[in-house]
Amino acid sequence: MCKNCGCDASKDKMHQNAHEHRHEHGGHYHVHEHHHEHESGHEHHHEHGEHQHDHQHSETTHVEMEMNILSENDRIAAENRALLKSRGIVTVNLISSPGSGKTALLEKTLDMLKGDVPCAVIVGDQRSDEDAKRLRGRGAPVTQIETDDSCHLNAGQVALALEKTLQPDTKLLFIENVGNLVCPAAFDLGEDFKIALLSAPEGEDKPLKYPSLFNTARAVIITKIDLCPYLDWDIEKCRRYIRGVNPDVLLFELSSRSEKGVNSWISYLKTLL
Amino acid sequence: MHELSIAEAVIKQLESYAGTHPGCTVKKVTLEVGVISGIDRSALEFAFPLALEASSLDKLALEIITVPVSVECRDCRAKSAVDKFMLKCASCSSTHVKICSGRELKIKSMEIEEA
Repeated sequence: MCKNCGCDASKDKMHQNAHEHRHEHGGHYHVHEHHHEHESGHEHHHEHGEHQHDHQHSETTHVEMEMNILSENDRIAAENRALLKSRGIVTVNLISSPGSGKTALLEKTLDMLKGDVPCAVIVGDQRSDEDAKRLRGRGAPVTQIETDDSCHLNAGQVALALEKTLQPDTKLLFIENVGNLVCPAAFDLGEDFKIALLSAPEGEDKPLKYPSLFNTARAVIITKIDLCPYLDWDIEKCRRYIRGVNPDVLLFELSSRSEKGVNSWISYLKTLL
Repeated sequence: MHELSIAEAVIKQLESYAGTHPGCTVKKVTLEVGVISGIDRSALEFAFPLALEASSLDKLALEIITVPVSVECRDCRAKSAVDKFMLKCASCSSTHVKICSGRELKIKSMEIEEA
């Protein structure tokens, strides 16, 4: 086997002698670069899918990287995590599709923890401070991040927001991520854990359709359960699907509007402190 | 949906490598992308040349290795591949499994040309 590109060089005479070969990988061609020991200045022919060209030969080297693509984000997230830990602050990253009730749950949560647990909120949306306006005046500092066209918060944005959001007595930090069931799951912000929300009207199959979030969350909150009587909704099926992608997940079922089930969520938050 | 951010993050790391290795030109990068990493392969292939154009790097080839989901059973210790995303041991059907692969989002290797 060729040590440079992994092809079977012993069978590939073209490779050995004519310095021209191509590989087929799932319908497309691409050329592997080779390290040649022969003298330089020699014409070398490669074929790249639709076009061909000749170029001067030069040395190529294979470099193993084994690096996380998001390592820069992860580095800043680790700094955020260390800062929050040193100040004894528990941080949850709330993720869900838009309109599933993250802000409504936070409104209710802040109201119920006011005077008892010092909270702070960082909230992300592509545009506007509508969420921050709803969350202010409930006893907790609130910072709105506008991500412009980005579909998720990243650790750098949170690092900047931490400075102006945290108070000397903050114990519980909520990060309300941009409404999106896919992208925010990939970006570590420095939180202790992620919580996924799923509103009853979205349908019970969402955990199966978007497993990467539901699988990484420590808890899943099914929201808007006061709407269940009006929906073709099988909550048992939903629970089964959630457990199917995340067997050990904590499950809450509540309505921020009717307050049904909210007490067990509040009690859970207090156990974290 | 965040494939462009991912493409930009890859290119930033390649630029940083090129910056610390004068005379080196990156000709190809190989990524490992897990099936449940949240990244769509074709969207990443689409975004990569766009991000490349806005960078200081010359054209380079992109190879993506798709990493399937595999689990290890906490009950019977068997390792198995997961077909659809229902986390279950293929050997004993237990759902007490931990994910071994499928979340990868890695730069595996590069091919560089030295002047």
